[in-house]
Amino acid sequence: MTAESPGKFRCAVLSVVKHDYVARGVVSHPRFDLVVVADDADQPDWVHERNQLFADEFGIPYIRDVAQALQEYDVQVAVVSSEAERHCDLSVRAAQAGLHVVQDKPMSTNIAECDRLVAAVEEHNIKFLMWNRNYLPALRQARQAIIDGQIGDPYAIHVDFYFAKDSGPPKGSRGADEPVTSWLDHQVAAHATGADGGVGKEAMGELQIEGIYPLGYIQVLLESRVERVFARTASHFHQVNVDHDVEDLATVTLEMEQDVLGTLCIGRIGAASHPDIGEIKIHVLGSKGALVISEARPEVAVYYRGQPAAAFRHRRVAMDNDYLLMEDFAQAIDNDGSTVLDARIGREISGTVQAAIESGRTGKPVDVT
Amino acid sequence: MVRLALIGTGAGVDRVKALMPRIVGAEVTAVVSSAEEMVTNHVTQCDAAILVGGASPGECEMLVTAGKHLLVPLDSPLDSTAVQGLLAQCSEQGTCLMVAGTDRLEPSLEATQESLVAGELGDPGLVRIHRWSPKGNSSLAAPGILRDLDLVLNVFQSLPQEVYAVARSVLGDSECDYLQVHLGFHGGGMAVIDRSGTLPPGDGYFSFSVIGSAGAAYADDHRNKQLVYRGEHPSAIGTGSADLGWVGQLQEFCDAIRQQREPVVTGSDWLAVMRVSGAVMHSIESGEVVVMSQGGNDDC
Repeated sequence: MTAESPGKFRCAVLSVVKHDYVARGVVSHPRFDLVVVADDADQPDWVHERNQLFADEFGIPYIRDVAQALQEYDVQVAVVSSEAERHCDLSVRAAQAGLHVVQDKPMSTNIAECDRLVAAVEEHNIKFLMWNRNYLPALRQARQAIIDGQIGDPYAIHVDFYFAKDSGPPKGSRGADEPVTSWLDHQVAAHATGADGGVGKEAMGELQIEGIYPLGYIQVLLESRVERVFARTASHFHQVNVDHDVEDLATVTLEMEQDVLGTLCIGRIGAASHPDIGEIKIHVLGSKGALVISEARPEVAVYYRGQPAAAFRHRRVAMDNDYLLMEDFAQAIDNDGSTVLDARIGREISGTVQAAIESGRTGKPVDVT
Repeated sequence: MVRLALIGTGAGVDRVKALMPRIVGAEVTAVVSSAEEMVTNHVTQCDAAILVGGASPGECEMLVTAGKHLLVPLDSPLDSTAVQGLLAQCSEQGTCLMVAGTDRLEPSLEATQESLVAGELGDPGLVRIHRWSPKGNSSLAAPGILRDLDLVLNVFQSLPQEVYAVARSVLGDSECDYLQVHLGFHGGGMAVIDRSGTLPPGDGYFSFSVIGSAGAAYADDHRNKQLVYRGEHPSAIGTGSADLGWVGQLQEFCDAIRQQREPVVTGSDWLAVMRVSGAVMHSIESGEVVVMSQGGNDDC
């Protein structure tokens, strides 16, 4: 590849059963082409149906054999967006085949799987990108302000990450005689509304489903590793979270390297609790000043007669996060550099999430390992 | 008509005096510099005393013994034993004790609480407070955190079960200029407070959010900023509530006296925030979670 005409990357989509935003985000960059969708043959019908639907939309084949697809389609990149518990396994297999990997969140529901992935990435010297939102305009602006020294040395950071989405009926809505819906069935059904961020067999709380985003912000802004956490967790909003004993609201005290402190407040707070996608804010305190950042900006306000109740009144604009993420990934491949959220950082964030969940259960501070 | 004595000196008294014409059903009948002066020279002219600049236990005792209702600042130098004694004394005398200097009647927070009480937000799940001050402007020790704890306890209407707090000396020239408090309540409720005293000279920042099971309220300085263009980047200036929070407190005190009811912020509320504040300090010192009993002893 030359600087004048950078080469294209042929991508295999390894399962696309959750949101398909990752695969679509990949092709927002002109250097990345999707050439095949692949998955394991033993997957259930609903998985094959979604994979096939996506392949048909893009006019590419769907192969029910991952190894065969990787071998026959001359691909350099794998895009993994399966159920959460299969993320790492698919990524490891891609890494072992020498492919660079873009993977959906969460990294895994299992820390040992994260470790296996980190080892595979490093052993095979491939580039890995956990999908994230670190290139949103407000994040880039905040990062530049910190780099420019506008607030001095940062010493504390606070992220509010309230997602104004529902997750089925509210807490308390299931009668004593009504059966509990399986987590997977609930998530599969939620696909139609895009509220299936926790798709998988294992139930996941908001820390696992969305935690990568706010913790990614903290990492990219301060580059400080979390060492100890204290958390409170609750199933406060949604019956499905109560039924499966996973949190939809959590607060985490973060004690980080170099005496940096922080907090994370995260929740799937329900569609009624915010007129848009949610209240997502970042507060950074420094020795010479502070930043208060609304993650949603820039946005444009649009109101009109007959506007659907569910329509966001404030629409985000200048959303070039997808393109910039893929540019970051391409640069890492071209120059043998690091991605903005690589496997090791992803593992650290997973460790923080795991420690927070444990702290929420035990009521005690927990060291992050 | 409630007859009020303003006790104190300086700008604080002038500020309260200037607000009094707005208060319905009350008049200022004495402005004195001390409780002793009030009891000695004006005891028959006043029904109630507003201790503007704080009060000692002795001053409070003197005024209640004289049968006066009291409005006492939250950051007065009284410990919990003194407040308990004051409460008992007020009960015996049938006088009203209201705590001043809380933020409950600030317009944005009053609106939030009204929404909560009306059931619009459902059950409270999370309270999040950021309060940042310029360097040297306010104490982050016990008095400084009391206002925030009062707001949180007012939302949950109970003591927390768990308290975890961490603090730092960021600028290196004070014992503590940064504090984080994490509270857990029965039923899963939680609260997170961060208090900073490291901003450069100028305005502070305050944000208060309540996330409930059916809705949320965001009272945030960020939403109430206007822009001033003077070249380069514009400045953000806050559109505040002027002194309406103080007007609300004064009116509430007088209304509670006239209606012979408990005021919105009582001595018991004061004791509760003092107790949680003590747990905060214990947690900072020990680095561990303090488990609070709903009765007395708190375990580190």
